[in-house]
Order: sequence, then C-alpha cells, then structure tokens
Amino acid sequence: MRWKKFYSLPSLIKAGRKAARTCQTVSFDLFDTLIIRRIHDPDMVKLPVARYISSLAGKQGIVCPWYRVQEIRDTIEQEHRRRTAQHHPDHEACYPLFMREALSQIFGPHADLDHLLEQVTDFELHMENRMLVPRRELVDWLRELHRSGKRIFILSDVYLPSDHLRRLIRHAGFLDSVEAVLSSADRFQAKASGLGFDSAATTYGLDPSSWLHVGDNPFSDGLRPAEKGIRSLVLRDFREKHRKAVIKRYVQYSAGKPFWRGRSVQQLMLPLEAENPGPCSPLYAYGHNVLAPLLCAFMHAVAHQCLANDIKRLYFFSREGWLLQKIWQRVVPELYPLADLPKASYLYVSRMALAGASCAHQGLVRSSADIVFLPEGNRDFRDVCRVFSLDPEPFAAHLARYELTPETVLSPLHEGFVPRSRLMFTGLLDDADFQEEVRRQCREPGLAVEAYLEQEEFFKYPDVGLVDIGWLGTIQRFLFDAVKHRDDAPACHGFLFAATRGIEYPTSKRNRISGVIYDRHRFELAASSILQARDLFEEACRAPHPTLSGYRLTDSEVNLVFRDRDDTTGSAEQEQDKYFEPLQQGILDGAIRYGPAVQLLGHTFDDLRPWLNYLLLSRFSFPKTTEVTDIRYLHHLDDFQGQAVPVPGHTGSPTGPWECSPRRLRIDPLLRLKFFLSMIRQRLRE
Amino acid sequence: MKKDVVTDIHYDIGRGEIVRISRLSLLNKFIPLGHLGGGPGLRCLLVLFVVHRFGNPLFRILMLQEERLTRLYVWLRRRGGKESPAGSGSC
Repeated sequence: MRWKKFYSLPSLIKAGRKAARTCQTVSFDLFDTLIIRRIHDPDMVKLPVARYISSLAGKQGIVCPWYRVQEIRDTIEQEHRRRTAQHHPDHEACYPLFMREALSQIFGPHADLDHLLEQVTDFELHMENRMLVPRRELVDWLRELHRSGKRIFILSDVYLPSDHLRRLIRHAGFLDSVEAVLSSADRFQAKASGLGFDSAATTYGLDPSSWLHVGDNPFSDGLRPAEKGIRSLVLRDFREKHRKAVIKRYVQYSAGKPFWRGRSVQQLMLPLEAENPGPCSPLYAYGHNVLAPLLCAFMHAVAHQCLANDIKRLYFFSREGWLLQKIWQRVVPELYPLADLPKASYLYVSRMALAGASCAHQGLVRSSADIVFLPEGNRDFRDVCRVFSLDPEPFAAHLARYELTPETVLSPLHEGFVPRSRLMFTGLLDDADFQEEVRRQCREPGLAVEAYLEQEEFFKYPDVGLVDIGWLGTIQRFLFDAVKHRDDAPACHGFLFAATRGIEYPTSKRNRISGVIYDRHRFELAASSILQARDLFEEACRAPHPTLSGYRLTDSEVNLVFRDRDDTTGSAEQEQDKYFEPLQQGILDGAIRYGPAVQLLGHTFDDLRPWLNYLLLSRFSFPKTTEVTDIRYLHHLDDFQGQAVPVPGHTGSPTGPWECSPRRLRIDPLLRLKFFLSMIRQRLRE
Repeated sequence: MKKDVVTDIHYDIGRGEIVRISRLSLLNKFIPLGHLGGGPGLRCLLVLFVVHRFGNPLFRILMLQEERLTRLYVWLRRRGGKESPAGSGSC
C-alpha cells in the first residue's frame, strides 16, 4: 500500500475525502496535524513549567532555580526513555511517571507528590492549551467524517498519556467527534515502530484495509502505516514551515538583540487559523497590534510593582480603568500563576466628582486652583466654582475684599487678563474666611466620597494601588486630599500609563505617582511620543458609561450620579464609543494571548521596553496618514473644559502629526520629522 | 475606510511591519530616536525581510526538494561540516 505526500491542506483534504469513501476508520495524528503550536519548538513549553516548579519550590523554602528544574526533568525523562528501550522497540516516556520522579527529587520523597503532580500537570496542560490552535479546515473535515458515521481515532507519539491528550482535545473543541485517543505513553507502543497501529487494530478491532491515516511525519505517519496495509496521507505544509521559520528567527534574535524581544512576543500573539479575522476594520487591527501590547505591558509592570511593594488592593479609576481592568483580568493571572495578586476592582471616580470633596478639609489650595486654569476654555472664578461644585454667590463679599468679581479674568490665555488679578486671587486663597466658606460648601461631597470609599473597602488596607491612564494624576491628587485627614487612610501608590506632570505632584511617602510607560521625571525620548496622541488613549480605553458627576449620600447608601447623556456632548460621546468599539475589541483579543506569550518566552517588562518604544515612535511620532485619519477620535469630551474662547495665538497651530489635516500629512514628507525634532527640543529644555 | 489585517500571508504584523522597522532604523542612524535596545541590526533585518517576504515561495521549493536536501545535509554532516548554529542568539 502506498502513502502520499501533500504540500497544502486543501489538496490533502480533497484526496482524503475521496479516500475516506472506501474506509470505515480514519485516524489522525494530533500535533502539527489537527492542532498546531504557536511556537516553533515544542520543548519551549517546558520552560514556563520549570519556572512554575521553581516558584512552587521557593514557596516551600526550597531553592531550585528553573534551569536546574529543567535539567532534572530532562535527565529523568532520558533515563525513562533508556529504560523503556530495554523492553520495547520505542524509546518512549510517560509524563506522570517521570514528572513524579522529578518532583520527588526536587521536593523530597516526603512531599505530597500526588497534589504537586496534579498542580504541575494542570499548569503544563494549561500552557499547552494556550499554545495550541486547532486547524480549522482539518477539524471541520474530521467532524464531517464523524457525522457520516466513520470511526475516528487520534494516534500520537508523545510523552503525555491519552487522558492528558483528551484534555487538550476537549479544549480544542472536537473531542465529541473522536471515538478514542491513543498515546504512545500509555503502552510504550508508538507509531514510529508501527506497534501503535497494531495496538489500535487489536484493541478496537480495526481492519487495516478500510483504514485511512492522516499525519505529518513521512516515517511514522506515512511509511509505517503503509507497511501495515493502512492507506495514509502525509501533510508537508510549507506554510506551516514558513510560519515556524519566522517565529524561530524572532526568538533566536531576541536572545542577542533586546529590540526583538517585544517583537517575538507579538509574533506569538498573532491570531492563527480560526482566530484570524482576515480583512477587518483598521481600528481592530490597530487595537490588536499597537494598543494591546502597550496596555498589556502597562498591566504587566503594574502587577510587578504591586508584588514588589506588597500591595494587596488595586483600584482602576473610571473611566479608562474599565478597559484596563479587563486587560488585567486577561493578562496578569497568566503571568503570575502562583502569586498572591492584589484584589482588583473598578472605582467610580472622576475629577469633577472628587474636586469638591478634596476641599472638604484642606480648603481650596493653590495647586488645585492652578489645575482649573490649564484647559484653555477656563477663564474666571465661575470656572473654579464649576469645577469644585461651589456656589459662587456666597463668595461675592470675599472676592470684593480682593478687588475681584466672579467674572474677573484669571487665565493668561484670555482677553482682559491682568497679572495683578492673579496675585489678588492668590491672596484670596490665603484668606481664612474664604477657606471657611469653601469647607462649608464642600463638607457634604466630602462625606459622600468617604462613604463611597468605605463601601469599596478603601480604608481596609494599609497600601492601595491606583491605576489610571494619566496624565497629571489629578484624580489621585483629589482623592488623597479628600481622605488624608483620616488615620486609616491608606498609602496611595499611583500607576499611570504616562505621567506628564504638567503641575508638580505633591509626592509624599503616603501618596505618590509613577508613570510606567512614560514619566517626565525620566528622560525617555522615544516614550515621549505618547504626548503626540494623549487623547487617543483616553478615548480608546473609555468605559461605555457616562462620566461621574458626583455622589449622593442618602440615609442608608451612596448613590452614584452620572452625567446626563441626552445633550449634544453626550450624543457625541456615544457616537465616539460606537466608533471605537472594534478598537477595544482588538485590544481585548490581543490581551488574551499576551500573558501566555510572555510567560513562554520569560521576558520581563524591561525586556519589552525597546519594542514598546519602537511602537510609540512608529505609530505616534511617525504615523501613516491612513492611521491618523482612521484612528483619530471623532469627539473628545473634557469635563474640566469651560466654554470661554481664548485669544487667538494660544490655540490653532498643531503640535504633532495627529493634529494635522490628512492633506498636510500627505504633501509634506518632512512634517513628522519637524514635529519630532521640535519634541526633542522641548524635552531637552525641561 | 479601507480594510486592514492583523497578520497577512507573510506572517508579519499588519501589512509589512519589517519595512517600517527598516525605515525607522535607518532614521535612527541620523537622529537620536531614543532607547531601542541597540536597534534591530542590519543582518537580522535582512534575514527577516527575506523570510517574511520570500518565505512563501522559498519554503514551497524547500518542501518539494525535501528528500534531496535531507540527503545533502546528511552528506555534508558526514564530511565533517558543522551543524547550523541554531539557538546561538546572535545575528
């Protein structure tokens, strides 16, 4: 009986359909046939398992580095194969047997080996599942054969016994179409010697003359079954060879060139087979290929910081935290399977909702008032009152004492500004009666915020981590100001995607912020590219609910008050959310594969930084025109922004490619370079 | 809005990321772009460009000539030639 080679899946399936007409039994090889691995080398899946065992040992006070664990495993496995070869023609090993012996050597013979083996097996199969992808066309054909009444078997030469293989196949989603799964680890009878086929024929009463076998190995899946009279088809897929050659090179190069480390992670994150959506929205592709690695790396670094600083509670600030929390849930448990991770939850906060509460005890401080005048639409004391939810009328007498009115221009960006007015305003902030009135008006919002935070267990932990997208850390500043008078106020560790620090943050031991991807306090030229498209990150991560305007305290509970979405701004925001839906979906789909990819390659956040910097540079400082037109947001709501129009000259000129028209981006080839050089100048002046 | 892809038949990110890396790497020779971990390296870029762009026809030929190539590798190895430096980590 002859066996045939095929170089593409469609030609194999076509021939297989024809051959299967006269066959009652169809058997398939599993690895590289029905399911493919994301990584080129299957042995690389053993490395995260070695790290896992090393961490398990560390928890029990046993020092055994991961490379030693790997060495022990390899030695014992080799020994098992040698012993098997003394009695069987195949040099096979059985995972539960050699792993139990390896664990016994690492943890000692008196350890609870059954429990340890179960734990390690679960992790190894979990990693395998994350790296395996079913081949859609072949699995569809397998299902078709099953529906037409054929007996379907899976035969594999591997160290995993058949019950482990069944778990992998169940995860891949086609166990229901398979009659039996046979592994060479069960009876040490492999396809390589042909005994695997004999064993299957005897156990299940199979007739070789009506049996078709499909696999990828010319020897085990081609020659051997042909010798037994089984018709066989062998797939030598050049596309798979190509894919593996690509990932192999990225992994090899990343060992010597740090630049490629992040790229190799991204190569492992790419969707394969049915995961690949094919031609899709550019927003989806951008979310998957650009924003997902950046935001996942951010969560990776936050998790590392939390574990290093023993932070047990983590809050994601609304509204960007909504997406960040979803990324956290997908990424971090994969990265730290044994760690005591902080309890994470979403905190409904906003600058507007917390601004008033921040003045309940300390009054209105100068740095907080300065923040009001950063947005160009804010002009006078009425804007201060709007931001801090104050009633301007009771302040009339206080303002008059300092020759001010609610309409006196306090921002230098507006017509009619006199520097003396700002000096008088500073004097007003030092006035005890003025501050007493501020505190009186802010008392109720302050109590409501404290009640909400109590409800969210904020005061139960000595240290809390606070995650936000950026940029000045204003939400954390207001939050800490609202609670710092309390003895049980926790130390707040703020983790920002990027910290621009436009206004100096009041850093102390109990309250600090750090920018993870970009921080103005560190000189990072490439990472400063973030500044070119800050609003994009806000819009991309935003929750689908409206912004919070405040908290309402009732007798029994705290109610959240959201901004009305029926007005023009609300409708614009909804339109924007709908537009960015595919972008968010792309980010979340990419995030699923980030954790296993990093876990497998063993990279840290710092290893990925050169690639993240490249992504920031190429996408934000040197973007393609189509990227700017497709990805640029339609509407951006800034709840701090007032309605006043600044004098011409303070607005209008673009500061980066993301603010330019597509026409200008197309016709001026040096435009991006000019903006980049201007950004370098600014950074050097800081 | 023109459709895009997450990965194409060349197994690259989107459409031709390797070209974009090459362009930025060239720019980095003239102006400082920041911390890029030493950059991609010319040889790595060339190899990856070939593997991405011409991998499809190249591996088709290699697969078709697999048996002859295997015999060639065996012959070369028997002559005392060194194995390919897989996993060397440098480029």
